[in-house]
Amino acid sequence: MTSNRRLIQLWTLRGIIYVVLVACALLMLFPFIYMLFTSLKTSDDVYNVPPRLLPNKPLSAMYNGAEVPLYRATINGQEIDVVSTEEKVTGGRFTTMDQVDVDKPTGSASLLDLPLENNPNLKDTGRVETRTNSKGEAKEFPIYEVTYNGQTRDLVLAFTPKLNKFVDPKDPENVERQTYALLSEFAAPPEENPLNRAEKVEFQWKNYEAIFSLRNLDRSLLNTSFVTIGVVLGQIVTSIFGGYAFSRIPFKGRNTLFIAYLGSIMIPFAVLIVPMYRLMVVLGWQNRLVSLIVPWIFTAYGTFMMRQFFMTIPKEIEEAALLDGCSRFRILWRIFVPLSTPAIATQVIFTFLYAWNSFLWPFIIINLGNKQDYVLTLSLIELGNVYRTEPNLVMTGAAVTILPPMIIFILAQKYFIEGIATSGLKG
Amino acid sequence: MSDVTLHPRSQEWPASPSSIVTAAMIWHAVLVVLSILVAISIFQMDRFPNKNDDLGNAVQGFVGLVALLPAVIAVWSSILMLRRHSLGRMLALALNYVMFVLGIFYLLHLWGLFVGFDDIANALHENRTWLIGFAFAYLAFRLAGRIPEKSPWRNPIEMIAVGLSMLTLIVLLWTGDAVKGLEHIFKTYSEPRTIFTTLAICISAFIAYSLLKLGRYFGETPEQRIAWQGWLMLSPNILGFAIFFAGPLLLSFYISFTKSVPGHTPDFVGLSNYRNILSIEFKIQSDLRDVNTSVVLRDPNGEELASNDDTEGNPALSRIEEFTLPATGLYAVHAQAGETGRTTGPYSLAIAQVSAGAGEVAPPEKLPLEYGKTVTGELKSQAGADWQFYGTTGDVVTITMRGKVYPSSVLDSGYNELDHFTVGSKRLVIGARETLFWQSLRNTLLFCLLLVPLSIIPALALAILLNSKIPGMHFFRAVYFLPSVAAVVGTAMIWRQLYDSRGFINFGLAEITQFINSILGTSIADPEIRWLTNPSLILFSVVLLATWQAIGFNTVLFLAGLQGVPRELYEAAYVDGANRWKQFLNVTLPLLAPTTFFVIVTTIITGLQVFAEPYALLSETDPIPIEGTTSVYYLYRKSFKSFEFGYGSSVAWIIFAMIFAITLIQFRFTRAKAYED
Amino acid sequence: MFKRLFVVVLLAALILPVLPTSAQDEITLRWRTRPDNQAEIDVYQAASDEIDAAWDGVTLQYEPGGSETAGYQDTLITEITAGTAPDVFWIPGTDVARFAKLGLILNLADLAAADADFDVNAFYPQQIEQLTYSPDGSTVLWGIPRDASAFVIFYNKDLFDAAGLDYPGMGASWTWDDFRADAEAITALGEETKGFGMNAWWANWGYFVNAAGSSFFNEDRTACGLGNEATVEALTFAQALYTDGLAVPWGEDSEPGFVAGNVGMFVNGRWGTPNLIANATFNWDAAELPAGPAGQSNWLFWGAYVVNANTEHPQEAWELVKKLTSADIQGKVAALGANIPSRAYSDQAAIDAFLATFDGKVNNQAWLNGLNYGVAEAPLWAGDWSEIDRVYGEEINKVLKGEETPQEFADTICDKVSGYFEAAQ
Repeated sequence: MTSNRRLIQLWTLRGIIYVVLVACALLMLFPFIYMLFTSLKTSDDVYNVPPRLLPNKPLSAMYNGAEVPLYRATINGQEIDVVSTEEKVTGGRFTTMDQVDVDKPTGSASLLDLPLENNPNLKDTGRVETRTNSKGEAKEFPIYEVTYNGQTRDLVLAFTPKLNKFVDPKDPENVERQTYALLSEFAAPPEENPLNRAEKVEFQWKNYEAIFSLRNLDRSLLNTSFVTIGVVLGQIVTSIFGGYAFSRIPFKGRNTLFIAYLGSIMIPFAVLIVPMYRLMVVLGWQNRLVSLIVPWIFTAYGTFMMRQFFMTIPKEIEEAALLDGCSRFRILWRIFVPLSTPAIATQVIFTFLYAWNSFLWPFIIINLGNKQDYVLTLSLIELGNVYRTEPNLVMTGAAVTILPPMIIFILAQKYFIEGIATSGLKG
Repeated sequence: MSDVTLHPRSQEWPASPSSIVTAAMIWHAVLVVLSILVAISIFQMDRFPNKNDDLGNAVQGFVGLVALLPAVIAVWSSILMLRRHSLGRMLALALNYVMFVLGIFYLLHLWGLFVGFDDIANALHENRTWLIGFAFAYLAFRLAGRIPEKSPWRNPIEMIAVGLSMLTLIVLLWTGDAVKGLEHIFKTYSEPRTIFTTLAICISAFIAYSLLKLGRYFGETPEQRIAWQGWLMLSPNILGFAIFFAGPLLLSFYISFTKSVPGHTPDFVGLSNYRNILSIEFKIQSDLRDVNTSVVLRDPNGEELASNDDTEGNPALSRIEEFTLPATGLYAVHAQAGETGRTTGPYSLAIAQVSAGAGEVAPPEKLPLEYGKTVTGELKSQAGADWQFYGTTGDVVTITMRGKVYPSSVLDSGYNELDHFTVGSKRLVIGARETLFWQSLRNTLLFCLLLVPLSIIPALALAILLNSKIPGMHFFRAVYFLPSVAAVVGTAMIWRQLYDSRGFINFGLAEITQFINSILGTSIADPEIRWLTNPSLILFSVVLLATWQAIGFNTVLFLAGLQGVPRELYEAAYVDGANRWKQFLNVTLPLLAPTTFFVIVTTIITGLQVFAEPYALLSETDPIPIEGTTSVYYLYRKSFKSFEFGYGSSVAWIIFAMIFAITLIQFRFTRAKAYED
Repeated sequence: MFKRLFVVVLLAALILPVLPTSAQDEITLRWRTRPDNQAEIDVYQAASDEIDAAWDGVTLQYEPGGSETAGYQDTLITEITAGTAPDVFWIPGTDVARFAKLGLILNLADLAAADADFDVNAFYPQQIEQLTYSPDGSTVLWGIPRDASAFVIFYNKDLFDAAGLDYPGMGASWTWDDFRADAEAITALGEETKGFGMNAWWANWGYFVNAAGSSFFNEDRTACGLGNEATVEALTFAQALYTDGLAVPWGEDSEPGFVAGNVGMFVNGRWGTPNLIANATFNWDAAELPAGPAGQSNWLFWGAYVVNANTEHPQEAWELVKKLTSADIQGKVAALGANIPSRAYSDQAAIDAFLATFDGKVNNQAWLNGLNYGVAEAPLWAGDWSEIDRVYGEEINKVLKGEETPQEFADTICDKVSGYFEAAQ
């Protein structure tokens, strides 16, 4: 009985926790989902209003020897896919008087659009409706007798747009399969017989092909990986030694050194840009990958983290080992390193992210023309500016930049997070 | 502690202590000569070879002195060693060790290894298809890891994985022409400097190692041994920092005291950069006083209907009372504060409607002045301001204008107004020479102020939820961490799209508004937020992006901390009858204090240096909007857009001072707390 | 195990090939220009290769810079500081004063005088006036204009049809009032449609100011020139476009919206055409900017090839600058549709070639007309243009977002920038 109630309580609690967690997860993931879907769109589709996730590809057909977009129209109650011709006629937007926007006639909600001339369905009654706009001017709207859907009504002519002639590409001459409509998709469609772009859901995988061939991104990817591996390995080595010395070897001046060291974290990187650039020039490293690796393997941040972790390891273990005659390096290698795999794993993530995502320094040190030595962040910012009118390609580039670390992280998260979670900071 | 066990082979060292010391002396003599030669050649240089490298005599002198340092230490240590003083040995150790490391660094440089990184990347890129071998090896290794340890299959599969990766490596080395690389290294030995460097490395290494073994000869104490062990372990860090950090830092510090533009030798200007940036002044404008005001009412045709220019009774108040409107249409009101010269000050203008006429047409929307509503603001000039309102025949209106004015600017020349506060009739005006610096500082602090709670509190909550032992947690952990894995430049590109005025965020908000409206029957307008162009939102948009990226990161740090809290403590608390909240307050929070400290410090430190987020998000306009200008962006602008490196460097040092102060306070605070516990 | 393996692999990878580069006997000249897209990079690369092939003793190395927002000038400045900048590079016209005053670029006057087949009058006089200006009155030539450009209004024909409007610039003169009426009619067409859009940088609002008869600077360009009624008139008109919701909000990039088809009119330079040709799926054309109260106005945008003051080969660098601005190379670059040859001022062949770009499907004449009355984008010798631009920009933001009245702007703007002008000498 009590166990039953406890079980229900437990599962209710868990249910709530799950709901919260899933909601948060969706929030965190949405930008990436958006990125992935957008990277598979055509550039037109990105600008669709309202925005939608799934990539839609507009359909097209061959007409007059060119590929042109297809529209779906309802003509005489029949759905027909039509294409636009060059032919234009003066048309009219017909609607009821209450729908007419007196101040901005082009904003009037339209019932239907019809060609004005030689139209058997239209009859000018000669009457007009007069309204005063906000500026106090009188505006006249002619009234027509309009026949549509088998009925005849009096409608007012709001204004006279130019309508394009649309025909069935398979049967262009057939008058039964022709219609007249506004060409621009961004003008509000009429209520009757609206014309819509014919579309279907389709993923544009070729964006990914395009991106690699366009922007040399594969080389950037390799460079970034190369640099990242170099920096990670270097940082791990230096910070394990440094962290150990700072946490365990009590020599004179250590604390002063540590404070100075810690202080270096607080130096904004920008302080170093100019002098560092000059140093790179002196060494002949500017515009070279080495400038992205060697100067960055010495890290106060990582050393600080390792030190904090080593502090939690009981002193007794080490003292016993020292009494047994172990050398410092042996102790570090045999006792501290195995005990701190989680800390090292965490540090690997930090360093990995730091190196993979670094932007300002590559931006300064690698010449803009030197695509051979580009890293992904550089390629991406260039992509974002050169292709800003094609967000689908920018998102593809972002995906190429973002996905590899994600995949590696997902594959290795057991080492990263699990390591901390299970054996974690228990010491 | 026992010397014997630590140096079990020290007696077996073949050379006698005195011969080693002699060898060290001779080597030191060589070093002295060399370093003096180098120093002289630096001092004698007219200027640095490249005009653009010229940093002035101060830097040249400094580099020359640094080059002399080995000579000084060599002499000093030699003298001390002759006296068998242990400090002499330590100094000689350090000198030879540093020579050894720098020598290797230089040798690798001569070998062309550093610039060869590009060739390595090139070779890997050309043969990238072979890299797939490593992927297969990794998969095989993973597979082996999943097999139980006792299974006979485990070892063979591991061997296959290792073999496969070795094979891939050999193929890569072969296709990448590793032989030619080795050949190139050998070729560098045709130059004497390569041979000499290699020789010097060997000698330094030999001397250093030999001296290390002479602990007893020099009467080494245990403290001294611990000390050299510590310095040795720290040496990679210390040397790396000296070259890639401390050196540039000193240079930056020096530049901050100069007026530095490219192509010219920097002029030393002392503290003037700092003075300019930090100059700020507070002035009080106390004589807030009434001014003559006037209002004029014009009919739709622009004819003056009525005016009031009350200078006698109450100068601050002009009023057209109970005026009946003769026609329907747009009326214009012109209000003016009658002070001559440029004036600033608060005003208010109101139209009180006394009775409405029988107007038929509803007034059009969006007119700036409505019946019964007061418009307030600041009159910026004598020219006054105009309003319109829509009135119908027979409306009776009262128009009131009030004005108070301050005299024109109280700030000294060179100062611009940063902000002002009005207290009663007095007004405090803050002026600065570099207003943009203060604005960027404000933005940066605000960024941190928002980011710290926004990214830490949810992270802690998530970590606690994730810490409960229920299935599926691994998945969520990974998901929350994902945003922080992504490059800021990449995520900023995504958020740029999401923040678009027709993007998903606004679409979502519109849908939510519509939903609320349909449920509650309200008519809340669609917010249509301009995330990246509305000045008051720009910084918040940047913070939101940063928060999204930081939460997962902080969650993982907290989780690590939480995992370190022993379960027994909770059990004990549970036995003591503490509920979950009490457990959280009394067990979790105190034990999480070090983690929290770490998380807050790192968040603030990174927050104060924020650059990439605003830059990547807002770089469509150049420069980025002032509301998104952070301190580091400001100094970047100063250094790389206006050429003012000296100025930029001093800004950097000011930022540094603040970061240091904040961290020091926090560090002290937590350490004190830790001792209390 | 695997970790160890990986370390081994990496260490081994470190001793991969380190190949010595072959020695070169020829002079190597590096040059750079700021391209806007990959197609331009390809053309510049091809031009570089072509010149290289025909030039004995000199090897050319072309380095594309980034686009404007990718920090072209920033990188250049950093490299000049470090002494690693190319021999010849392009800079925008507004930057000539800054680079020249700092002594970063070479005065080419002597080289040009010694050169018989170089005629400075072949280029637009507005450009040459700026390139031969020196505050102390000495004879100078800072560079040669790479190209020229002017604004046009790109308009979406489909939206104009949908609103039943005549296309801009057809027939009678097209004034601000006509322009606004068109923007109103198009904005009303649909919920997401905007009549007009322009990007948030100085030339856009500057056009309105110029067309109303005001100017950024006073006559001799030593002080602010915005404190007048014409500025108020210009900004009142521009502000209303924004506050009445007729335009894409100020500060938002209008180009994607126009390319997508929901903006009726978009102000941009010649550089905007290739993207439209490639990506616009609607019918469009270009028209001259509307005539303001003070008549027609436009900008003449330009940039120049300049020579690094520290180059080791000034004579060859000068030759390169000349070759890069030859009618032939300019024609090839202009064929892409992003530039107008700066020789189009005097060279009929250049004009004809330009008018023929895009097979004449685009109203190319609109640009040439604009260039004729265009105000040159000009370097500011007596002030810090980047700071002045920043302050102008901040205040304009307030005006166009409706937070400040044009009157307030005109009253206060000149005080705000006075500190950034140097005292006249």
